[in-house]
Amino acid sequence: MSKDAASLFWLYNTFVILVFLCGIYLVAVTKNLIKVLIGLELLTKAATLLIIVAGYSTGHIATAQALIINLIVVEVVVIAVAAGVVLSIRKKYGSLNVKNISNLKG
Amino acid sequence: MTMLDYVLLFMMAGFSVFAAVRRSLLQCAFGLAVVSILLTIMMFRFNAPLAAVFELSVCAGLITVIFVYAISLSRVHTQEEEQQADHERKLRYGVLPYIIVAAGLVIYFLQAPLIFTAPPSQAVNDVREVLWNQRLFDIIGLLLVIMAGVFGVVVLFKEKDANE
Repeated sequence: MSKDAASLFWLYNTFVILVFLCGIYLVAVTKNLIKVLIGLELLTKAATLLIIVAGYSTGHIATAQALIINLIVVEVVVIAVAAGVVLSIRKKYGSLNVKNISNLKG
Repeated sequence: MTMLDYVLLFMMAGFSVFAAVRRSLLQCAFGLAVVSILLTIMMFRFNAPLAAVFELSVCAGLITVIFVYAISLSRVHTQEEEQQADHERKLRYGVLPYIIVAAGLVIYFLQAPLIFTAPPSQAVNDVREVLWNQRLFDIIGLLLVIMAGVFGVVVLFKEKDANE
């Protein structure tokens, strides 16, 4: 990896970690189920950016693109099903707040 | 690296924090869509147009629509709940921007040496070749994931109709 590519990778890597931190923080702190999904999306965005920058820096951009297309397909399936589950929970309990879904407590 | 790289990256971090801390779920979904659009621009700049088009159409488009649909079915808070939620939200999310700025400065100035070396560049650089000719087994996995997703959505909505 050349010096320019390494510094570009490091700069983008810094922001990947920041977006990842946002996602982790949101998933850990929020009590709203839709916000949990938004946190998961932020985590996926960070992973996507890391893959594309790594592919660009190492000269394997085609492999990175193929991997990202797979990632996006999995991401949209996970979000669609999770949104359906969240809507079902909302219908059953009348709330999206995890504090009110006491039946899930172990 | 140009000025545009920095602008895009700072905007991405900013809108990530925006999506995390805003009270309104619609504004959170909007922030997420903007993050997707910024990611799309970066992909175009990294010469990855196919992934960029997927990201723009699916992540910025379809997933935002899914979120808006889910949010539209949720209940609006009463005045009392709103005040309570506002107070809790300030306690919970007030610290996030400071964490992000502090973490960004620490990570950037840490400048840890890269501990990996790139593999020899013998890979094919045509995405069509990689996507259609170099993958065999994972296509089956991908198809199974798509079918599982379709099946899950159909079952959930079918159950919803039956309950109504």
